[in-house]
Amino acid sequence: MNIRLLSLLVCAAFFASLAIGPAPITLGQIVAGDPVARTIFLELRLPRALLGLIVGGGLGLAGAALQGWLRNPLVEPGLIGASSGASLGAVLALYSGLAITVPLALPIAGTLGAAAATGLLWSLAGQRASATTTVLAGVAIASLGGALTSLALNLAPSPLAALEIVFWLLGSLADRSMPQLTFALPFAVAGAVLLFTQARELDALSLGDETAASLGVDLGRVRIATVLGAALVVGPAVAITGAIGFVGLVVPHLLRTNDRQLPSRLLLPSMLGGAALLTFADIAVRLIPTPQELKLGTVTALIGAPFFLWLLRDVQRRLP
Amino acid sequence: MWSLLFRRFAAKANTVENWKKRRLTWAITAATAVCMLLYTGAAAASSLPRVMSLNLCGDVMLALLADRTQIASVSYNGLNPAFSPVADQLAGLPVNRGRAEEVVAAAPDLVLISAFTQPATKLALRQLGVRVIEMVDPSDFDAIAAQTQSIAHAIGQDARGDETVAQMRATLAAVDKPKQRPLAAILHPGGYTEGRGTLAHAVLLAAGYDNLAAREGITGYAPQRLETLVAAPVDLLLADVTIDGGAPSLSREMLNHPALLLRFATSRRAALPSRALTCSTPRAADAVTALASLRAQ
Amino acid sequence: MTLALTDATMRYGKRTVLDRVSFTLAPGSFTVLVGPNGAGKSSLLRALGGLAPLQGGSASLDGHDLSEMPARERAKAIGWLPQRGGVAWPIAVEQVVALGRHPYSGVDSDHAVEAALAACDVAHLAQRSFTALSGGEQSRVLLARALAGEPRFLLVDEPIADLDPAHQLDALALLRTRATDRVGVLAILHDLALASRVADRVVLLQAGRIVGDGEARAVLTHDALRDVFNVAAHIEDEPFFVLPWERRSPERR
Repeated sequence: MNIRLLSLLVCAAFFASLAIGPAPITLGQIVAGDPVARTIFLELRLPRALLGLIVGGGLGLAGAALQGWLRNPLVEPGLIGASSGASLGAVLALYSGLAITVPLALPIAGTLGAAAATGLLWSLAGQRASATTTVLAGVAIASLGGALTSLALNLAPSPLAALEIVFWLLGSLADRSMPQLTFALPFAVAGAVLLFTQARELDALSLGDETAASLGVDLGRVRIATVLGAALVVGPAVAITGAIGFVGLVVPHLLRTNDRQLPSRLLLPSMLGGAALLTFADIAVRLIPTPQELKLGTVTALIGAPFFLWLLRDVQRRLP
Repeated sequence: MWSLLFRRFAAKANTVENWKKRRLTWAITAATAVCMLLYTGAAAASSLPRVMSLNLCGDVMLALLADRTQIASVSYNGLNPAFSPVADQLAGLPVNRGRAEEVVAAAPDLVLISAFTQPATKLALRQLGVRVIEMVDPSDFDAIAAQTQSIAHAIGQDARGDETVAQMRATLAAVDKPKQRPLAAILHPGGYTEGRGTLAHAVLLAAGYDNLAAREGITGYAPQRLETLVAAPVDLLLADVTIDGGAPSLSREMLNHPALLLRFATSRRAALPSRALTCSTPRAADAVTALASLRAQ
Repeated sequence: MTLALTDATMRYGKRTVLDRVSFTLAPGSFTVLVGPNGAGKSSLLRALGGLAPLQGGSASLDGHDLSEMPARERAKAIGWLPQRGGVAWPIAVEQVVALGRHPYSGVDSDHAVEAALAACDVAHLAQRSFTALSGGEQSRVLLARALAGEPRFLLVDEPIADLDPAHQLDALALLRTRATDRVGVLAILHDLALASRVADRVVLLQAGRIVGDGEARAVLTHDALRDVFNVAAHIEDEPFFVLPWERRSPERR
C-alpha cells in the first residue's frame, strides 16, 4: 500500500466521516446557509472528522517512532503507558479547575503526563531490555496511570467525575468541539515535526546503541526528541479524546512491508494509516446500533488486543 | 426487647441463693420496671411514631408531612442544598448515612427506605424486625398522591397528607393549558435526557410542553445525541446545571458545547429545576409552575 | 595523523578496567590487540573510539580531544565494529551497509556502499534480508557496514569469530589491505595463531595495562604466553606464528 493509496484512503475516510451522523443534513442545506445544518456541520461533524485524522495520525506516527527508538515492534503509546500518563495529566488539569483559568494547561498537562510515563519506561526498561521486559514495564506504568486517574476522578470536586472514568480509559471522539481541536493542533504539528527530524537517527539505532553512537548519533538528543515528540503528539490528543489504544501498534505492523523495515520509511505511512484507521473506526462507532454510542477505544481494543497477542507470540518465536 | 430483658432479669433473681443478694436483685428489677412504665407511658402520651429516613426522597417526605419531634434522623443528602429542596427545613436534625447500625442505635418505629438502599442494609433491617416502608419513584402525579397519603397514614399525619396532596392538585390545576405546546428538551450532564415514563416527562406535559425525547420514542433516562438535539425544532432547552455545584467536568463542558450555544440563545435556554425533580414528591408541582411561567415569556 | 590514548583510566564502579594506558594508532599499520578475557580490550577499543567516558587521561585524534570533537567529525574519522552487533529489523543487506554512511548524510553513498559490499564478498546478498542470513554472512555484512563509512581509523572487535576458515583469512586480508591504504586498523583477536600471522604490530593487554607493544615475535614470547595466557605454545620462527598447545600455570615471580 503506497503513499498515494494511503492518502486516498485518508481522504475517503475524512469525507465519509463528515457525511455520517444521526441528523439528516445535506450538502445543499449547508451551502444554502441553513443555520441548523451549518451549526451541525461546522461545530459537530467537522471537528470530529478532523480530530479523527489528527489523533489517529498522531498515534500511528508516535507508534512507529517509539518502535524504532526502542527497537521493539510491541510498543505503542497505549502499551507503554504514555496515553495513561496523558489521561492523568489531563484529568488533574481539568477537574481541578486549572484548565478553566489557564486553558493551555490542559494540553500541556497531557504532554507532561505522556512524557513522564515514557521517561519512566525508559528508566525502567531502557533500550537494552528485551522486548517483553519493555512491554511488561509499559503495562505496569499504564496500570498505574489508570489507577491514579481513577483516584483523581474519585477525589474531584464534581460528583459526576467518577462516572467519567470510562471516557478517559477508553476514549471517544463524540461531540468534541472546534475550540478543543484548535488547542490540540499546534502541539500535534510540533510533535510530528520533531519526530520526523529523528528519522535518520532512528535508522542508525537499528544497529544498536553503541554502533549508532559511533556513527555520530547523539543518543541523549534522540531520546529527548523522541519522548518529547511522542508526548506532544499523544498528550494533548488524549486530553481531548481520552486514551485510545492500539492504533500505534496495529498500523506500523500492517504497513511494515519488505520495503519499509527501516524506521524512517515507516513514519509517514504510519501517520497516514493511523489517520485512516481511526477515522474508519469512528465511523463504525456511529453505524453500529448500540443504545449508547460505543466508545472508540472499545473498537480499537477489540481489534488491537487480539492482534497484540498474536504479535507477541510471533515476536517471541523469532527473537530469543 | 424490653420484655425480654425484664424476663431475664427476673429469672436471674430467682436463682440467687443468698437472701440479701436476692432482696437487692428484686429491688433493682422493681426499679427497672417502674422506669419502663414511665417511659412507655411517655411514649404513649406522644403517640406519633418516630420515623427515620435513610435517603433523600424519604427526607423530603418527612419534611413535608412529619412533625419535627417525630423525626429520629434524616439522611446526609437531605441537608445538601445542591439537590435537596428541603435542606433549610431539615437543618439541625440528626444525620445518618443509611446504615443498619444507625437504625438500631436510633431505635425508630418506622424507617423510610428506597429501591436504591443497599440490599445488605435492607436485609439487616428485615432480620432486626424493624418496620420499613420502601418508597418507589412514581412518574405521574396520581401515584405521587397515593404514596404521599400512604406514608402520611403510616406516620400518623393523615390530615397533613391530604392537605399536601390537595395543595399539589391545586397547583397543577392552576397551570393554563396552551393552544400550542412548545417543544422542550431536557439535557442532563453527560448528554442524557428523560423520555416517556419519567417524572420529568410528566412534569413537562403538565407544564404545557411537548418532550423531544418522547417524540423520538425514548423511554426512561437515556442518552440524547447532540446532533439530533441541535437538528430538532426545539423551543426550549432545559439544561441540568445545578446538580454538580458548578464543579468542572466533561459533562459540564458538554452543556457549553459551541453547537448548543449557537443553536440555543439565552432566551431559549433555562436551568432545569432539578431539585424539585430529584424525588417523586408533591414538591414536583413547584417544577411545573416554574416551567409554565417560562412559557409565558 | 594519529589516534591516541594518553594515560587513560577507565573504571566501572570500583573496578578499574584501564589503568593509565597510553597507546597510539597510526595509519598504515595493522595492529592487533590481544589479551585474556577481562583484560580490558573492548574497553580500550571503546575509549579509543570516544564511546566510553574516561575517568582519567584522554583520547585524542590528531591531538584534538575526542570528547570535544563534534560527533559527526569523529564518526567520519573512526569506524567502530562491536563484537556482537545485530540489526533490529529484517532490513535488506544493502540498507544495512548504507547505514554506515550515516555521518555523511547520504552524500556520495552509492559508490562507497558498492565497494564495501564487494570487498566483503556480500554483493550477491545485497537484496536479501539481513535476518535471513547465516551468522558468518551477517558478520561480513556488518564489516562491510564499517568499511562503507570510509573511516581513517578502523576499530574492530572480534570480526572473524563467526566466519569459516576461508572467510576468516579473507577478512583479515581485507583488513591488512585497508591498513596499507593509509587507514589505521586496530583489531581485537582471540585467535593467537592468526593474530601472530597477520599483525604488523601486537599490543598485549593484561588487567587494564599494556604489557607488550611491538612486533609480533617480540611480544608473543614463550614467557609472555605463559604469564599472560597460561598456555604453553609452539612458536614457529619463519614465517612467525604462534600455536597455543596446552595449559600451563604462570611462573611465580
